[in-house]
Amino acid sequence: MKKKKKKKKKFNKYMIISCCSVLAVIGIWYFCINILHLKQETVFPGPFTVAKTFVQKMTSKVPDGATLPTHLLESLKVVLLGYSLGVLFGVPAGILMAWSKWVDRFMRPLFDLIRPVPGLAWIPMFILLFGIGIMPKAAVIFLSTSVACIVNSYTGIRQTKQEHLWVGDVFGFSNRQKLFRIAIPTALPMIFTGLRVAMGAAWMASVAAELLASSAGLGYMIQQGRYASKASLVFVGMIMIGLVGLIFDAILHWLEIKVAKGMNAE
Amino acid sequence: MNEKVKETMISAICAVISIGAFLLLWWWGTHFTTLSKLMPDPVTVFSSLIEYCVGTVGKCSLIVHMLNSLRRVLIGFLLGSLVGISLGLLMGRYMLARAIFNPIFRFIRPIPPIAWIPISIVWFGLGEQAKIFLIFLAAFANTTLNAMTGAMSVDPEIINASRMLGAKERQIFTTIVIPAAVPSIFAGLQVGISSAWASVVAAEMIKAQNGLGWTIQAGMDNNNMTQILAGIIMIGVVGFLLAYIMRKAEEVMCRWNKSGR
Amino acid sequence: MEQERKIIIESEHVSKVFDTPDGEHEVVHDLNFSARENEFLVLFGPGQCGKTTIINMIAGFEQTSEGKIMAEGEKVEKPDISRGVVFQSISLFPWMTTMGNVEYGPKIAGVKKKERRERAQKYIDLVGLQGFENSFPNQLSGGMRQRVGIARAYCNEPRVMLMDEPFGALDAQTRYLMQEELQRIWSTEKRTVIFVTNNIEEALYLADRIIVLTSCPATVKKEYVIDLPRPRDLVSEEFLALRKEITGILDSSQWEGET
Repeated sequence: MKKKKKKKKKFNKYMIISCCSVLAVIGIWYFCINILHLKQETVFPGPFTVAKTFVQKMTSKVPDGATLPTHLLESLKVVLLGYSLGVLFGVPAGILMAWSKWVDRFMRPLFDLIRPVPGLAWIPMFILLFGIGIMPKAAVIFLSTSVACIVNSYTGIRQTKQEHLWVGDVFGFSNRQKLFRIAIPTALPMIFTGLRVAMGAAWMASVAAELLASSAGLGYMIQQGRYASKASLVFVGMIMIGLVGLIFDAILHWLEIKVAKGMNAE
Repeated sequence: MNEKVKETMISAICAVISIGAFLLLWWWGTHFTTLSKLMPDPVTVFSSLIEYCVGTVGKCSLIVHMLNSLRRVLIGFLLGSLVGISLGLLMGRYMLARAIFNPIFRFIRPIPPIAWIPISIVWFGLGEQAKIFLIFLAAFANTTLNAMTGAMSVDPEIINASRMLGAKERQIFTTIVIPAAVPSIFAGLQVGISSAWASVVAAEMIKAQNGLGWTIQAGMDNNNMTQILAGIIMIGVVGFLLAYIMRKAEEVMCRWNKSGR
Repeated sequence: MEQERKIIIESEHVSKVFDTPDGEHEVVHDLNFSARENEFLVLFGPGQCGKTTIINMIAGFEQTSEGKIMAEGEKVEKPDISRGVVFQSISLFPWMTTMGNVEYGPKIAGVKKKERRERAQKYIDLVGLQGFENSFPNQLSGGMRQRVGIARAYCNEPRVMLMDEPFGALDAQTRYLMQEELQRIWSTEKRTVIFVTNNIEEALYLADRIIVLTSCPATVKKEYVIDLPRPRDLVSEEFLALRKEITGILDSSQWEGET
């Protein structure tokens, strides 16, 4: 019992150090900008300016014509559209490629050609093809999502153990039953990893697309903030982008534990 | 052995058929559908790709653009992974380092490197520094986390083994924790190099006078689809080579981790 | 005779309690024994009865909850090069070759390359691994890996060797072979050995003295001095008689432990 308490205390000690370290960073930040004036606030805003801008931006439409929630919704809309389509295409495609030798033989070479190109390099092409709007963004996000989903689902299915498939044979499973009852459950953790990686890639692609050519969204907002020399707005946008990415990841992680672990326990 | 040769043959034939079909579809699409207004056919793209490499795109040849991008990536990646690996290893081994840096790191990591582009321009202007800073971030974010998990998941029994052989804490860190984390670090470098390559392309698209990212961006501004596609192909080839080199390096460095078992 | 030899390791009223989610769990209770110079001492006990914990405490990896362990008159608090360990999990450094593993101890201590190579080679030869100096652990079989593990511990020239079911992960054939090997190595390089096992045949084949432990929590049940001539005949009458007797003790002690 004594030992347990000691451990808890230790844990708390590190928690305190963590809090101190965060506070110290904010403190140094404040000290350098607002007291020493090492950089002008238009270049590197102090922590309170950022906080103030954040609150103001919730309702203010300056300088980019929309409030922070509007920009956020705009970004989310596109990401979720592209992401869902990408998942709906990528996961089955990956599974199919891993399961069927013939699909693999024909699809793999094409896939290997596309894979090394970073998703956002397609942006100029899509913009020329579809014009500025939701389409090129959704297309880029779709592409980034699909690639991540295909890679991970493919590896996941390939991890199925031959012995497990033999067990399926013993039970007289059809090919389809082997896929759904053995291979997919085996691959589930990897598929979820894919979903998380894909979400990161999708979010990044959307920000890139908004930075380059867009008239709304968080990426657009920070780009406009830069043009208007409002560095604090750029900060607010970046923090928001980071935060949303974190929330998405947390949701998917939670789902992963719920679904994948529940499956394994069965 | 024979089976294997046969399989390779079939795969190769299938690859040729599928890529051939893709090119044919592309060619057909650009000649007989409305796509012809927007897209050049594959023959044009490949012949201009060679032309760009020999001749010029903007101020210099495509090869020079590529070398510019490559230089930025390598400098930024080297710096970023060096800092990332050191910090990650320390955070993985020492609770104190983790307590201090992890909260800050956790806050910075989810911000995609690309979102740093506007602020990096504000801070560093339009020169090289801004781009290298971005690539630094991309490499840093990926390697830190992997180095940390690598250092945290060293088999405690192996650490015990080194202690009973007389290793002091500093020696445990240098002779046990670091080599044991190498496979995990390479996994991070693998992701890091792809992310760094994507970031440099993005940075060049947004603000640059040269580089592959500039090539495709300028192509968009001039409505020149051929230039965009040539740029994309080049980006893909280099991206592939970078990942390939990294994989080979991993194979050499982690020989002890693969095979057998 | 036995009493005259110097005591090297002594366990004095040692207990070990672990905190688990289900409350406290005592794995070792009031353990008293000693190991003498150049003695092959076997701690023999059933299944999961804290034998590894005892070795870990002697090695200094874990602290005792109560009591103390003395090594050559000093209280054990942390690992020391005077006590070499051979692990059940073998735990070689997978990124080092056989040579790298064996010379690790001297290298850490700053011994010059030529000298430590010679020393490592001596022990590699002793365990019969000449020709495998540059192999990585994943290229070796289980038995060969544990030979490296033994050579690695020996190469530091410790006063005491602690062996925690070193052959537990090996198949029966290899295990038998390794027992013979260890017997041979120990005869050439005399050391105090504390050897933990749950295999009675192994215990009787190797031991000068066997300490029979009870099941959880582990404590001394009985002690046997084995003075059969070496190398031992596994089917001699004395051997079988002892085997029967100790197995009998073990059964009843387990039974006692359960009530």
